[in-house]
Amino acid sequence: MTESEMTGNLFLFTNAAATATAEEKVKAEARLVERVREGDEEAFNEIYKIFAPMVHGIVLARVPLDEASDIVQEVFLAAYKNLHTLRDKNALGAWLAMIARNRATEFYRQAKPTEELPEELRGKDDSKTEAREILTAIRALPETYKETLILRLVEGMSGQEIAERCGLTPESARVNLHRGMKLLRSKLGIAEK
Amino acid sequence: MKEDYLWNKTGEDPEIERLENALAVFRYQETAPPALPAKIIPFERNTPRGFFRLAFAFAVCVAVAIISLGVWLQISSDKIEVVKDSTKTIAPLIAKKLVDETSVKKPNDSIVEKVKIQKQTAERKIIKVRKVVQPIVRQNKLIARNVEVKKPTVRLTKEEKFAYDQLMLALSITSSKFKLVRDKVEGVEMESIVRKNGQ
Repeated sequence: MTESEMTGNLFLFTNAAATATAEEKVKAEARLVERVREGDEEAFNEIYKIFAPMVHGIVLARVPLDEASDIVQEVFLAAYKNLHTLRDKNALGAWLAMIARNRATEFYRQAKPTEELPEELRGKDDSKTEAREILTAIRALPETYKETLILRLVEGMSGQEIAERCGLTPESARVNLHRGMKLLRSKLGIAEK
Repeated sequence: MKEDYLWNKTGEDPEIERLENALAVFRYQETAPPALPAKIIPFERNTPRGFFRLAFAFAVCVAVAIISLGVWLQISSDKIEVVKDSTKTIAPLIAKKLVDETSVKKPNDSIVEKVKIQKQTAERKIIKVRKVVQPIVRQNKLIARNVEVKKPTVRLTKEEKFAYDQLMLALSITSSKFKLVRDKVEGVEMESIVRKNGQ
């Protein structure tokens, strides 16, 4: 067996293993949905633990920092109330992501116009200032890229996790990550190596 | 290695690591899940769909019933009008025709009287029909109390009406001829019986 054949086999094996794990996860999530439908609050808490970072990332890509955690709670409450409308139990992640996006849009409809504090009143925390600047640059990216990048860079999720949680294919998650990163680099003035 | 780090955090990419570390301050801080409503919402599957289906089916049934009732009322009223029209147009024609036929054959007085009697009975029958039909119409109107019954806007055309009258006339002439034949036969029989009795 040549080296390339061995590498190819290893790639196929890794890919198949990843797909199998993803399927198992989806099945487990579907079981959780069933349990919540039967009135099991513990199952709902588990769903919250699994998906809260993803929902937080999606919300953070759209609304001010201070509002994000409140909106995350609202998203899960709305999901609990409307869980009977979820047709495909295996698409819980994508469904939650959709609710999060809608809630974020709703926030801007209902919100009163506010102004952010000027730079001199915010305090001199350089690390936070830099972080804010990076976050602002990410938020300025197109919709598909900013969501994936925040989930990767802020929430620390891997590409595979992003794909699984948001109901994306691994290929599209990978493309979004790389294109988004390229745009972010050019925005921040970081040269590609 | 660079791309691997972005995808699955294997290898190294100091630039991405720096961004990650900087943005970590905004990372989700684990909080308690929201307090759920006290009353657990029943998770009924497809309840709204089922309800709408039933409602739609009911609405369709009602619509079909109303349409069929309307059509039936219209048809029945058309029939009544045709009968009414025929009483006006056919009766005098029958009488005229009968008189003409009897005058051509130069019948005796008894035959003319018989024809007159037949004419009267025919008119009475038509009047009876009219009287019988009217209560049915009233009943129909009572049944369809809430239904707006439209009077038929499309009626028979002149040609159709003429054709219909012609047909009715032909039928009435044939029936009257049959009656004449029957009366003659009966008359002959009666005469023969009288003769036989006389002898």
